[in-house]
Amino acid sequence: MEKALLKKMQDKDLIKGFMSGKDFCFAELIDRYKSKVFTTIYLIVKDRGVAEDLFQDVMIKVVRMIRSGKYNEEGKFLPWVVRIARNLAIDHFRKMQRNPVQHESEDYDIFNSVLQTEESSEDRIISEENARYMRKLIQQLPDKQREVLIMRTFGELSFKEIAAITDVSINTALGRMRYALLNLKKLAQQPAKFTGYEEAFQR
Amino acid sequence: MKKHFNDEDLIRFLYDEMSQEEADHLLSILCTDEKLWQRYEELQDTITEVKMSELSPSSEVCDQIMAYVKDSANTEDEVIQAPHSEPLLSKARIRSQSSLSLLVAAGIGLFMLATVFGSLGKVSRTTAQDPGTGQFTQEQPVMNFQWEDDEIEENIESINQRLQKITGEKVM
Repeated sequence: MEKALLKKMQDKDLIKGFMSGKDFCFAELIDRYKSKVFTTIYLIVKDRGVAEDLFQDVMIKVVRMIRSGKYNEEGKFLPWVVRIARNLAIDHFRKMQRNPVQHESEDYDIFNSVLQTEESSEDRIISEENARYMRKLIQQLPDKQREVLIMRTFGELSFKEIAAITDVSINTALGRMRYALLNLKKLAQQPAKFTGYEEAFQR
Repeated sequence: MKKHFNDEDLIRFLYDEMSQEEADHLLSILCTDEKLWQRYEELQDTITEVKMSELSPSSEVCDQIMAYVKDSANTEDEVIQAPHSEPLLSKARIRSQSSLSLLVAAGIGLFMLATVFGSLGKVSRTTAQDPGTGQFTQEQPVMNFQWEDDEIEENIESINQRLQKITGEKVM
């Protein structure tokens, strides 16, 4: 099927296509949402290698659930996948807290990234550096603020859905989002105090 | 109708989680309230930066997932029965699995050697008889604004710019 046509298809149609045996429909879904799902996982586990393993686990679970008819068509695809990703990432995080091991830092991908952008423009490299810096700041947010920020921004879950998942009121979820954004801005204005994040937090 | 808007309202507006009536009211206030406008811009900028921090998985990982999708297309039984999804590509796991395989192979080898030599030893021991007691012996193994007439035109232009920015750069 023509790629331009696939790009115009809605998620639910791609899922139906996949269920009828058209694997390229799932490839389009992966291409459409891989970055949002992967970023969600990465910002929770804070380790690229582990995030890639979990990303595979999530996608395989998604494949199995769709094939077994467990996907609810009424729901939105991305929020559904992000819920699965969040659960698996949290499970993993809990296991790691019980059995801590030395993690690979994002330095692991800095080298790869530099290689990949070697022939690209200076702007692109600066943009990637800014993105990496922002990920570092996000990872330093308190867990509850980070969780709401990730689910709303990358998972596209509504504040009402986030409130239900995290078992808090919508106002609390909105409040956490507000503090997350305020703290990020504050952190971004204080690069010199990059290691003293906690003192900058309002909550 | 609500007259004062706070950061949470701006966030709901930025994420398209506000009713059309409330959004229109906020929009009219945003055009004249300097402080509220500044808060809006700050929140919007931060959200934009967050959204730009997306990270993609490696292409190998996506290829491996699609390989799994194709390979497992006709194996429903295996899909249903498999209790746990192992990652298809994991350097760490591959390393640990390789190490585990080596350990298992070495263990089997040692066990076989021990069995062979143990048997030989047993044979030799059984052939050796304590000369004192005459019995056979065995060893046991040990693991986020004011109007003035002459500024009206300028202000109208400013408002138009803001409206354009809001409608053009709304986050979602």
